[in-house]
Amino acid sequence: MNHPIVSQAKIFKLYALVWIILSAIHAFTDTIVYSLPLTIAITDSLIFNVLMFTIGLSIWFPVLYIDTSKGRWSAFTQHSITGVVVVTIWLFVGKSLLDLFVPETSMQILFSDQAFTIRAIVGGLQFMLYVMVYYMFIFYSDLDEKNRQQERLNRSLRESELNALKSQLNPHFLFNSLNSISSLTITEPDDAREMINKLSDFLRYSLKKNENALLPLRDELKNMSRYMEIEKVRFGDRLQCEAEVPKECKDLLVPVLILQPLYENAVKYGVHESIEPVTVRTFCRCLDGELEISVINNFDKDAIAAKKGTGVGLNNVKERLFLLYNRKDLVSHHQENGHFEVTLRIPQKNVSLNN
Amino acid sequence: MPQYKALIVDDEPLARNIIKAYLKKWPEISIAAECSNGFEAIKAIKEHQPTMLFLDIQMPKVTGLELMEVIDEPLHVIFTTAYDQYALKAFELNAVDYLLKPFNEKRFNDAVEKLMQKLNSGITSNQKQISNLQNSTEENLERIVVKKGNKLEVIPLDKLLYIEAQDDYVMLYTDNNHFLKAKTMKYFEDHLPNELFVRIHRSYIVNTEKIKHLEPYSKDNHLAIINDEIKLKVSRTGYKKLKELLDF
Repeated sequence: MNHPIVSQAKIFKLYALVWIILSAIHAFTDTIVYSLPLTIAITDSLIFNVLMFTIGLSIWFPVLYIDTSKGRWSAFTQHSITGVVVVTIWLFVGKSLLDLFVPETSMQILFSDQAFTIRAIVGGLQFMLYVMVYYMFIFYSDLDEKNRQQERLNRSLRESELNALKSQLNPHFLFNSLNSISSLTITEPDDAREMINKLSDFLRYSLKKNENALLPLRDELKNMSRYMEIEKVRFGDRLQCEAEVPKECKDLLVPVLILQPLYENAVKYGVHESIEPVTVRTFCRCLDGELEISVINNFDKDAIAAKKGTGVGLNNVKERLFLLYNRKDLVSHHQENGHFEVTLRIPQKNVSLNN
Repeated sequence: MPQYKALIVDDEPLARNIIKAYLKKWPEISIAAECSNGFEAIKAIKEHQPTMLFLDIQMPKVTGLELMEVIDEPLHVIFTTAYDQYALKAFELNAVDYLLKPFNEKRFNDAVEKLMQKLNSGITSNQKQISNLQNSTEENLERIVVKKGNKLEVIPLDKLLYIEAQDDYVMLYTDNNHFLKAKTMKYFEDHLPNELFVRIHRSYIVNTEKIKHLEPYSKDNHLAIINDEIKLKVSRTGYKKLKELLDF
């Protein structure tokens, strides 16, 4: 952390101004109370106040580094010791310097028992003031940092919400589907109506759900099969679907639309880039406290876009699962011999509680 | 009696159907063939010599835009796509029109009308002019589509050894083949990823990963050794660029 006074010109100027005023009061007191000549009063004031002006700046470091984790008393003791040391050094060095400029008689007045006690008390008070002001600086900069962190968190949350929304509704999927419907109305009006119904069901499912909602896998798979059927109308035989889902998995809960990016990628990098048919396979397994879902598709190994991909969809899934379950290891993928596989593991809270 | 032949290129059968249906109202146009990808399209163009092309952009392996680049035959193109971001590039390629899916019959007829006017005024799109026009587009190439005889070839960048200047064309060299393309050296200099490809000479752009080593040639020049047969001249500025990139 930067020194709060030295690192900011404005505050440093204010600090200097405060000390000029204090010095003036000090000199004024010397002339009035002790009836000393002005030169001696000014010398005394300058030496002691310039000294505290400098020492005061260095009090920042003990304040910053004193270990406050061991309780109040420990912190209090450490600060007190520091205070005594600082005031002692101040008085000793100040007096030694003053000895060089001021005659013996005036020194006796300036350092009578009473005057000495007052100096020590003033020094102690100044030390405490420093400590308080420095703690205030630390407190406010911590508060600032916390606010900024909160702001960052909110922003990333909003961004991921927006991304999730975007990934739910790919406009090109929509336009191409509408184009297919437009075509079907000419030749196969019944099929067109059927496709409009599927598209409506799919959109309704996508739009009404809250992003954090958990739904049975059964519903999610049903919606995904609607999505794939719509795509099948577009691509015909080029797209095949297979699914193997044990009955006991179907009631487990998954985040709504979590599978959507997986199928969308399979279509985008598999079907879009391949002249040969592409099969999208879905496998589910109930593991100990987890539901495992794998989506596998073959792709054209020569297609460059298929190899690269952008990872946006998968990152979205990762991010969502992280926000929901606070784990980063829930998504994995690998490709082998022209097949791409993504595996999700969805923790089942109620199951893990029983274990 | 149809005077004009049309080719429909789209990977979705339903999307082709809609164009077929709309074209029924145009007795002067006959549909010569339907193609579901660029490879079929190149063959069909050679075979049927169509007057016009209805061309989708997003297709497997070769996009409609890439296909346009390698077509030498004079023909008129109407793009049909769900993506609006390629419109600028399409018009740079002298497209007659750009139809956003789904489009209605009126919009389609307007596009064909426009095409007919062009036909009647006798203007045909000229490929050589096109290739120099489209230097404005932004992103790096990921692959290069070329035509050899009747066949379309896709060259991934990691298969490309180097590019040689040949008058108005360039020659692209791979391990066991070479392809002519109607593009300028400047175009490739601008659109190949510059962390991989360097213009080492007035006549050469090289894939730096394919350089085995460099050897001195004359006072100011070096040779980049690709293999036993291919040794490319490196100019002084080219050598400097290589040195900077490869950090030797």
